[in-house]
Amino acid sequence: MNTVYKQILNQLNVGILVLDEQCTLLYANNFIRDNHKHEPRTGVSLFSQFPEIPEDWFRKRVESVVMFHNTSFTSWQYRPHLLNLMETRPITGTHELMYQSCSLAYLGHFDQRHLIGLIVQDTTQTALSQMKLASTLKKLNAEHRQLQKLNQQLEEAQSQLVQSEKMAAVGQLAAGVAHEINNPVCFIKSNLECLQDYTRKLIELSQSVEGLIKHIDDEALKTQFNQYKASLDIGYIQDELPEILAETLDGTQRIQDITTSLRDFSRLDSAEWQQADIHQGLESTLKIVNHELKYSVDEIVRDYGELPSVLCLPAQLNQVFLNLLVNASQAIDKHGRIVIQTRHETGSESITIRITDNGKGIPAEIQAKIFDPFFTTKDVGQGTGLGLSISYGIIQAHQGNIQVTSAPGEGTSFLIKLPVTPKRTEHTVCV
Amino acid sequence: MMKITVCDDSLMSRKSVIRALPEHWSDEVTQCKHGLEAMEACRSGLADVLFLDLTMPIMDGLEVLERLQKEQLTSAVIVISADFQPEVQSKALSLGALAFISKPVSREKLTDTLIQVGLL
Amino acid sequence: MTQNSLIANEPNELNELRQDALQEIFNISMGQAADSLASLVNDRVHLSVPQMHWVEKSRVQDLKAAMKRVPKGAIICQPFFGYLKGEILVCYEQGTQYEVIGQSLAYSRVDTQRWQHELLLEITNILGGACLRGVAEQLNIRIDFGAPALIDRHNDVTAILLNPSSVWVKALMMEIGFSVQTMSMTSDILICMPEHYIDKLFSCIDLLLE
Ligand SMILES: Nc1ncnc2c1ncn2[C@@H]1O[C@H](COP(=O)(O)OP(=O)(O)O)[C@@H](O)[C@H]1O
Ligand SMILES: [Mg+2]
Repeated sequence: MNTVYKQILNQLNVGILVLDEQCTLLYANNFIRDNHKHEPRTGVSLFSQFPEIPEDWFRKRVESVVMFHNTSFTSWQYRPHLLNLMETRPITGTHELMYQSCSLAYLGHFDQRHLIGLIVQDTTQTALSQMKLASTLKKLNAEHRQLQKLNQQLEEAQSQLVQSEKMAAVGQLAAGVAHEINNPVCFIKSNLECLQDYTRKLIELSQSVEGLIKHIDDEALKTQFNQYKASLDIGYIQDELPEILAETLDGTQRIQDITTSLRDFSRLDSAEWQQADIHQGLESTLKIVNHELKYSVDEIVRDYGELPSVLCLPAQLNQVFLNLLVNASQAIDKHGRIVIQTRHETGSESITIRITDNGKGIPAEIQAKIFDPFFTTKDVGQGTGLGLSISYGIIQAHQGNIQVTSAPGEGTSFLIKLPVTPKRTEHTVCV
Repeated sequence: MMKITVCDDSLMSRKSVIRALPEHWSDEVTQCKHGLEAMEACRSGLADVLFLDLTMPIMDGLEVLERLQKEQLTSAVIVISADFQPEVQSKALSLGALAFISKPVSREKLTDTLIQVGLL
Repeated sequence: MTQNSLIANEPNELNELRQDALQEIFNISMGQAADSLASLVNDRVHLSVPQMHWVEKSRVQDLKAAMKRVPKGAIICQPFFGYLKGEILVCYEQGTQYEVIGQSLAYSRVDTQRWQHELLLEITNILGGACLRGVAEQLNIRIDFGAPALIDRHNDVTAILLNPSSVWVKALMMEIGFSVQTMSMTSDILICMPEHYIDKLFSCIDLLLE
């Protein structure tokens, strides 16, 4: 019978060692013998045959197993290789050592000795697939996080897009209206110029008639003419008429200016990158916001340098100038001063535009947030919190950057830096 | 013949002590559920020998030992306890217990102890 | 021989007898466990008197209210089987000083989570073995143990018991507090046995009570 048991022990795909409580190795089955680097000898200390086992720790475990007559366990997760057993697949295996989960079991008391069994299970397959699973999971998690981030960015971009589409629509509308107004204004203007000419001629005529009448000796006719002239207040009309016409012409000219700058500002042709004059953009934007500025801003200082023409989307840059100018005027209570400074250092690849106000300033703790979409300190209806975030996006698309410096109580300054010729313009996403 | 008192809050434990008593050794066994009852039994002369548990409600075993000393009652006390870490044992013995038996009790353990302390 | 009784209301209800016996069997077992554990870690060990709870899954909240302590921490579970079957759940509160207890079990390093977890698994194994060994001996039955496993890094046991997909319905739970003062180590042990095995447990106890 004993040989049958031994036969079974040797056939098991599980390692079995038997020790006494002094850790003398009494038995090792074939699984252990076949897979360990050195074939273990029995009758000697376990640790001499398996020096890889931490001795103090193992003895303590043996002590507790004998004390409680129980079984103690180790797991491959924490202690992958209690014994240096070789992996059972020398060809297709990927690891040198076998992963093991072991149990140390109290077997009983025989011949005045406590006997303990060390049972070693090969868990290499489980271990490898679990570790693979864990690393895949980690990768997946990382990808998931990245996707989430992208998603968030997408949402942000989308909300900016919606806003910029709205702005574009408004711009188009304005340009359309400007065009419609421009036509009648044009013929009003040319008619007015005609009128000016005709009037001058009529006045000339009436004046020469008056001169001729002076030389006639018909007193009755003279008196009648003078009475007639006085009753129609012709003298006054002669003085006023040119002035009225000049004023009207001037007004018409102003209407034309505004419609032209409206058209310039939204530049229907500006969906494409083109060389543009930044100063012209600033000027047409100033005209547009003039109405908004004139109540609080006393003075607009144009400190313009020499600028080369810049490859850009002009309507979008105008949009940025508009946002900055409106913000500046909203930050100013009264007696405001806005300085617009432009610079280009000779030889430099980029230009700078600085817009400075003497408004209330931005507290340091929110300076980091002002470019966030929907961040606003203004009342509902006053601010959307989108102006700066859109501006930021536009400047990014131009491969430039925009920075703020501000001292609460003193004012705020936005500095835009733009490359004269941005690279790869065809790839940039424009909001 | 001895008068015996067994004091333990567990009925099973009292029963197993009574079952483990040597035959024809005692003629009267009193059971108590906590220390206060045990004191009563000792005062009434029902306890030549007192088998005493330690962890009990109302009054625990160590307090019984203290009070017996104070009242100079002469019952012979044998502590039978589940908690037998060295500190507890020496505490009980210093308070006048004759012997200390760890639970569970068996007839052999009990008989050996009684012989040891000269009660048998 | 005559028997006096100074006890007014001797419990004569069978179930009360059984409960009393069960409680005492666990008390005795805990005493033995404390003694062995003390000699293993070379220090005074304290095991509280086991508290018995009969729990239905739908009323785990009552258990939470009735338990002496419901700390949160790493939860390790170890199955046991043989004549009786059940699980031991041990919760290790955060803030344990692993170095000292680790040293007493001959761990040269417990500086990382990995070693701490292995140490906790081993302590659970020892605690479980110690607590149930006395029970098995007194009832004269065999109890074996499966490998312990970490089932939650930070939770309280009642949350684990409440897991809706767990199979248990009704169970007996013994709550035991374990502490080694000088090692500032405390843990809370819950020995759980499903209803089905309680009948078997009681039939063993009835044999003792005969
Ligand atoms: N020139 C400025 N002076 C003071 N605060 C400013 C200025 N420009 C922007 N801010 C602050 O930044 C916030 C965000 O601006 P913006 O994105 O244009 O949104 P909105 O103007 O609709 O609030 C404003 O609410 C304001 O608090
Ligand atoms: Mg704004």
